[in-house]
Amino acid sequence: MAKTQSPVQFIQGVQSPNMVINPAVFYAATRRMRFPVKSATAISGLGSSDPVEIRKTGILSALVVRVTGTVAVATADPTAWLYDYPYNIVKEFRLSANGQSNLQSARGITIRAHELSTNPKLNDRGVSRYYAGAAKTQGTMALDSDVWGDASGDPNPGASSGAHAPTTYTVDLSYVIPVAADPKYLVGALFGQSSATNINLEIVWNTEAALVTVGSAALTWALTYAVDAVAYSIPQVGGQFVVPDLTQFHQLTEFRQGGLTANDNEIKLPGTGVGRKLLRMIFQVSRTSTYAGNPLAVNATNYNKVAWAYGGNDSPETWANGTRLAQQNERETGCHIGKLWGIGLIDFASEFALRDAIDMAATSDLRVILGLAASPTAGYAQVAQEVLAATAVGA
Amino acid sequence: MTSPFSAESLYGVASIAPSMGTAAPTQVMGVDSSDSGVGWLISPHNPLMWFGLFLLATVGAAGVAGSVRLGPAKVGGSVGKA
Repeated sequence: MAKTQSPVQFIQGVQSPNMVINPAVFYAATRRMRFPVKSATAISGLGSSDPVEIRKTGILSALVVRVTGTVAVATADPTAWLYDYPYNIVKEFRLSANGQSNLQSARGITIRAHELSTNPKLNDRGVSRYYAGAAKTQGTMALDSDVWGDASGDPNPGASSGAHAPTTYTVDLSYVIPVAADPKYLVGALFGQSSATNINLEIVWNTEAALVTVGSAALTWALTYAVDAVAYSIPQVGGQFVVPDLTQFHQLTEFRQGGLTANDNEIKLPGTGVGRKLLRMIFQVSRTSTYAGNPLAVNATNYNKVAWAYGGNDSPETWANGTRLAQQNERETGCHIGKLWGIGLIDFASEFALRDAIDMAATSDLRVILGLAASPTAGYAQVAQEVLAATAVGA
Repeated sequence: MTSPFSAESLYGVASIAPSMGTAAPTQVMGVDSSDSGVGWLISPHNPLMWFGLFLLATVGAAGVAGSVRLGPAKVGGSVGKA
């Protein structure tokens, strides 16, 4: 008798054993797993990058990255800490999977802002951190377990650490990379249970010049990173492997837009098209002044309008000024994210995604409108879009 | 997919990716025969037809003539009042 083969099937473009899509059965039968994919390892160096291959197991939901270590300031000189410190020590998290090269591409601060917007249990709880040389208890976006700017004279963005040098300071940060758009229902999670799967996280480290303007003495960095994966096993129920709905990829991608002027700046989102749903937009405008990368606080002084629009001039939502958006964002994230770090959020998914998410097939020339009260000095905007994309279309 | 936990139910996304394998017309192309092709050229609503008739009546049907010479041999022909 001829040997029969089980039919070949493709999930997210990867050849896989025969499986049944049944989310309800999957949730009841799966097991949550958390395992290290990279134990604490010294980074390859600021300005360089570290690729991490993720283990081929189950349904990948999230990656948790910890960056910790020390920075030693040798002599008492006025070393100026810039605003990419501390969150943007990671200049970019790049996640690629199964040939989809650009699933995630975002800075450290964007990943933190995204976590605040999606995790209803998380807010900054008045954690005190030094920012621009003064203690701040609101809008730091810090966890208590983060270590940066804990005391006066510690390295903190927009300040000089000359007073307390020479000292060795500790840095400790954690990031949750949202592989799945929805950690509960696992929409947008990655199918990892195949030898054909290839999931990679590349951590791009910022340059020292972007983090700090070094005085007369060189700094000595000793940073390590570690990566944990949160995944779910693929259960076998009634002789069949069962998986949740894996028809979507989750994208969080960020780009920089320069040439900002006073009043309306219409910044078009790249890559709009059929089969894509926009869940969130996160933006941050920075200017170069005394301390490079100084974020423009989201308030009425700096923003005379925030809106999003498509087509000719269809503008479904408009905020009269920055303060109005910042007030809404504080309600949505539990943190005054526009106050210090100048983060603005337009959230289409947290309240009711089925109703509010934007179908990018029907919104040509989708854009965010940043109305700036004044032209920022050498200003630029960082705009991130979070998208669900049908798997065959992908990134 | 009808599961309440599907991406379609939760986010309103299309559960099946658009197929890139088959070409589909972007819209139904209808053809109106009344205003296209030869029919329009000889239609009494076409002013060009009346202009043509006017030329025929005033100038007359033109003739066509031609010849080809290949060394000592010459081949020629004519149609109409050439």
